[in-house]
Formats: sequence, structure tokens, C-alpha cells
Amino acid sequence: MSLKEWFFGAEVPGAENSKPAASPNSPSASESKQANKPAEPAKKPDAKAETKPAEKPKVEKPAEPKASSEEKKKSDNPFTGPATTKQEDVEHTQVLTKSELDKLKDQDKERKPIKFVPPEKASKPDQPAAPEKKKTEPEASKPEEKKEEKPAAPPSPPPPSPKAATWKVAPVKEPWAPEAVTKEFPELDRLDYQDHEYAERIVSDDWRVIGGSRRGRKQAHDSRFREDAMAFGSNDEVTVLVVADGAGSSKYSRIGSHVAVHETVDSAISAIKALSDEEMKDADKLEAALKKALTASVRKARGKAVSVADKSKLSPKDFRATLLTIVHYHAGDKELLVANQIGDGAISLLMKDKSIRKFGASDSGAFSGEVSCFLTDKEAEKKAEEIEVVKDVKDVEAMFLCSDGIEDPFYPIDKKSLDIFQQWMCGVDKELTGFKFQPAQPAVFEQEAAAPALAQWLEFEKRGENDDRTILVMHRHPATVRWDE
Amino acid sequence: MNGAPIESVKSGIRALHSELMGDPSAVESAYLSVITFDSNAQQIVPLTEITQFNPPEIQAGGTTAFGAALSLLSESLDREVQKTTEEEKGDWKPLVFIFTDGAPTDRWDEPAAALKASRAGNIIAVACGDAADPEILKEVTETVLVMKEMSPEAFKQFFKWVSASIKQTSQKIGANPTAPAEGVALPPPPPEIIIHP
Repeated sequence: MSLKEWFFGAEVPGAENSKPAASPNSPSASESKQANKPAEPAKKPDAKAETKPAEKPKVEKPAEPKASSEEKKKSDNPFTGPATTKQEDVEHTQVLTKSELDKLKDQDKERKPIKFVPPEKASKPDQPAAPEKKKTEPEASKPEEKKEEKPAAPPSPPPPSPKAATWKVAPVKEPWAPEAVTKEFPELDRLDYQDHEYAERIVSDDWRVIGGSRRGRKQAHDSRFREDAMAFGSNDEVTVLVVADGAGSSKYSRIGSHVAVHETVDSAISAIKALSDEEMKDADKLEAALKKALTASVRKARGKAVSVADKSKLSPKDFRATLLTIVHYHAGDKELLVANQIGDGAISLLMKDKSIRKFGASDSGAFSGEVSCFLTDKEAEKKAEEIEVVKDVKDVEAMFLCSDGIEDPFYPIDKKSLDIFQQWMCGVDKELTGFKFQPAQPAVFEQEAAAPALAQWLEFEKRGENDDRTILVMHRHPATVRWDE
Repeated sequence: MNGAPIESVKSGIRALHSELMGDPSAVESAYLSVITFDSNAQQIVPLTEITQFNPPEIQAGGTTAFGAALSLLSESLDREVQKTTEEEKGDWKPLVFIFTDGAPTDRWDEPAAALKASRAGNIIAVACGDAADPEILKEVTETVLVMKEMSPEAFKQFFKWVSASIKQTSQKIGANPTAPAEGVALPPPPPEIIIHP
């Protein structure tokens, strides 16, 4: 706990922009501080001598060891405060160059043993403001001198233990799609790329979709684009939800995930539009047809991603992404959910009895970040056939599909997703165990505008979890489950 | 290894540590451990998160207990690295850098084979100077580098490369159990280091 407090304590929620604090302890910083010392008091009195005399002692406190070498200036500055003496100092120091200053310092040091002690004593009665401090200084003056000389001369050989860096946001310098790609696919010259995107839509009388995709702090720090993508589409009969996560080790995975989600939505919707009457009337035939349509859509998405690579003369490995898809069919008296998953991430259902049903087959290796099959890999052709079906859709209250940026912090997600749904349905007043921070907020599902609320929920902070976060949620709107019952 | 080279390794570890402390992602997720081997092998720093890591004093002289070091490494990886389970998300696959400038003086073939088969880490072995045999290191890992000259500059460049490699490893990669191990794509090593084919 103490460790956490130590290096998280200073961090502020959403402090992505906060720059690393300048390390005043580093040898170079302290050196330059010393070199500038005489100039420092010079600047301030000019502008603020009268308004801020009281603050000065505070500012200069950390530099106390220095005091003995320049005790005159220092003691004058904070405590006597008359403008005249200060201005004298100002003039001197402003004119001096660095080398001159160093010479003076050296002379100072030579003189110290003889001259510094008596004036110190003499100055005591003159300075009623800080008699206690002055008392300690002459006693300590000798050892202090030694201390201060050491770091000033050699560039301090024993390096202090380095300070932990904080997050920053670095702009991305390359274009979203390289020329090799945009030459063949001008539509991928995406000028509308956003670090974060959020969307929502009421897709039927009963259901609403909310989605959010947020660039990870790691991606922002390393000046990389968001590599996750999401898309959904709907008509009177069907809703298609798709999430993809571009592999961090692949150069253009952002393009792979982007192309894949849109291709999946488009082809699933048109495939289902093309269902025959016969297929739609018979439950078994419908299920088979939906499975077939989903498999075909996933394969099409794969085909598109691979062809972008091929035509751009790049390797499909550069476009690796996961792909998670749910198709919700609802026409007439038929209602069915089918899902497919390639790679890691998770699909989860909240049933009306408040139980969780895992949906989709997650795929991750023994170590973090290992995925056995990506969409662009050959094996994905086979994986596209692995379709799961939920027939009792009337018992489903809500569902989500997410990238590993959310699966990992909530691992194991089949156990934690109940907490997630509860937070969305009841609001957040306290972070879940293990989380550094979760923004307090009212229930996401209750909001008229739910996407910004989901965006806020996605701002949670957990140690080591700084990947892109993408989630698509579909929930009954209005809700039929109450938690306070 | 002793004298100037060991000093270079020491300052290399210090540089590596401070480099990692400069990367917030590494600060949150990187851990370091140090195992030394001369007449015997010992883990002088257990796997420690980098904010708590103190660059150790390293002494090495005498013989080269390479086999003992590999056994200790296997055991440490097994004990300290969390694998994905039903309840817990696994750690990132560890990166292991092995340095040696001498020929093994104990039995090493079995521990080497066991370590290689376990795929417990991405291992990069470095043969330093003329006495180390890169072919022996090949028995431990596919990735063997040769540093002919043990100059301070070579070590410095090498540790720079190590920290770049560590920063790059926390990414999603392919890990098809039936395909040959892909490992991680490491940045190209500095010119002082030659990749042993």
C-alpha cells in the first residue's frame, strides 16, 4: 500500500497531460540552481519586492546549505527587505558573467574561514526576524561548506535513484494510413481520426446501443494511434455490434481493426437482408442462415484486411487485429443472438435473473498479450465457423463486447462483469477493489445521453492497465431489472 | 568476468534501471531480477518492481557454473512469473538476458534443454569476448548475440538496446502453439553486437 501511495499518490485522475515534474534532485538541476543563485533574488525584487517579501524565505529554504557562502545577500533579502540593499545586489549580479561569478565564489570560499564567522555573529542582532535560524548556521557552516563544494565541482558520481516518470500525451507524427495504403484505398486516408470516439443509438423499441473506444495512455505516451476500433449498424430486423483490437506489435493494426469492423457490419447486414422468406419462417433454418451469414461476414472482413495488405504490398501480419461480433436478429416473433470471436477480448451477457453468461470463446495464451489467432491469420478462416447462439433472448437484459483493454483490468471477466453491469445500472460511488480510481457517476443506462456517461466510465485507472479500451454495450431501454429490489 | 567488464555490466544495469524509470509504462509493469554465476549461481536480486529495485553489487570470478545458473533461472521463472489462470491474468512474457565470457565448468546440457523446451521466457544470450562459445548458448535459445570486444562503450550500447527491447515487449503478439515461436520483435541490436546465425 505504501508503495502505491508513493508513486500514485501525486497522480490526478485524468492527468494524462501532466508533465513529469522537473527533478530538482538531479545533479544537473542542483548545479544550475547554484549557478543561478545570485541572479534569482535579482529578478524577483524587481517586480515583486514589495508584494511578496514574506514568501521568499519559503522559496529559498531548500537552498539553505548555500546560505553560508552568500550569507550577506540571503540574509538581507528575506528578512530586512529594504529595496535599496536588494537593488544593489541586483546590479552586481546582473552584470556578472558565469565565469566571473565562479571566480567570486572561489574567492568567497577561500575567505570563509577568516571572514565569515565574525560578520555572521555581528549580523545576529540586526535581524530580529530570524534569530533562531542564524544561530544554527554558524555552527553548521563548516560541514555545510564541504557538502556544497562537492557536488559543485565533479558532476556527482553516485547517481540518486531515478525518479519514476509520469504519463504524457505525444502527438502522432505519421499519417493514419501510409501512402502505400492510401494509393490503393483512398477512402482510408482518414482525416477524421479521433483519439476517442463515442456513439449511441436506440436500435429498437426495447434496445439501445452505447459504444466507446478510448486511446490508451500507453499509446498516447508512445505517440501511437488508437489501434482499437468499433462499429455497429442496425435496421428493423437486425443489429450488428463489432469490436476489434489491433495488435500492438503490428505496424498498421489500426487499419486492420478499422477495416474489419466496418466490413463485418456492412456484410452482415446485407447478408441478413438477403435471407429468404422460407429461412425467416422456420426457426432452425433461421439459425443456420444466421450462422452462415456471420461466418461469411467474418471471412469477408478477413478478406478485406488481407487484401488491403496485399494490394499495398505489405504483410498481412502488419494488419493483425482481433474481431468480436454479435448479431441480434429480431423480426416478427423470432429473436436470436449469434456471436463469433477471433482473438482475445470478451463478450458477456447479463440475464434478467442477474446471472452472467459468457458468450464467445476468448483466446489468450499463458502470458499476457499472447493471442493464438488473429483475423488476418489463415486459421481465422476456420475460427469464423465457430458461432455461438443464444435462443432465450427474452431472458437477456444487457450485453457487452470489449477489447482486452477492458477484459484485463476486470480479469476474470466472467466473474467481474456482474460488477460492471451493476455499475452501469446503479452508478459508481466507489471504485472496485484493485482499482486506483473510478470516476463517481450516476447510472450510465439511466442517462438520456449515455455515450458521454460510458466515456466517463472508461476513464477508470488501474495499475499497468493502459491499453486502448473499447466496448459496445446493448441494453434493454428502459431497463427491466432493478438492483435495489 | 571481472575487472572492467563487470564494472561495465554494473553501470549498464544502473543505466537500464534509470532508463526504465523514465517510461511510465515500465514503471507500472516492469520487474527486474539479477542472477549471477561464477563458481556457483545465485539470485542476488529477486524479481522486483523497478521502483523498488536497487542496482546490486556484482562480483564474479572463478569458474562458470552455467548449468546451475540455467537451473536457477528456470526455477525462478517458474516461481516468480505469473501465468494466466482462471483467476488471474498472466504477466507479460519475461525477457531474459544471459551474459557469459567463459566456457561452462559444470553440466549444462540438461538444464539448457529444459529451459529451451519450457518457453518460459524470451531469452537473449550474449557471448562476450573470445572464451565464450556461442554454440553452447544456441542450446539455450535461438537468439544468440556475440560481443567480441568487451569495451565500456559496447556494454553501454548493449544496455540501451536491452531497455528498448523491454519497452517493446508489452504488446499483443501472435502465440500460436502449433506454429514456430514468434517471440517478440526486438529492435535491431547496436553495431557492437553481432547476431550469431
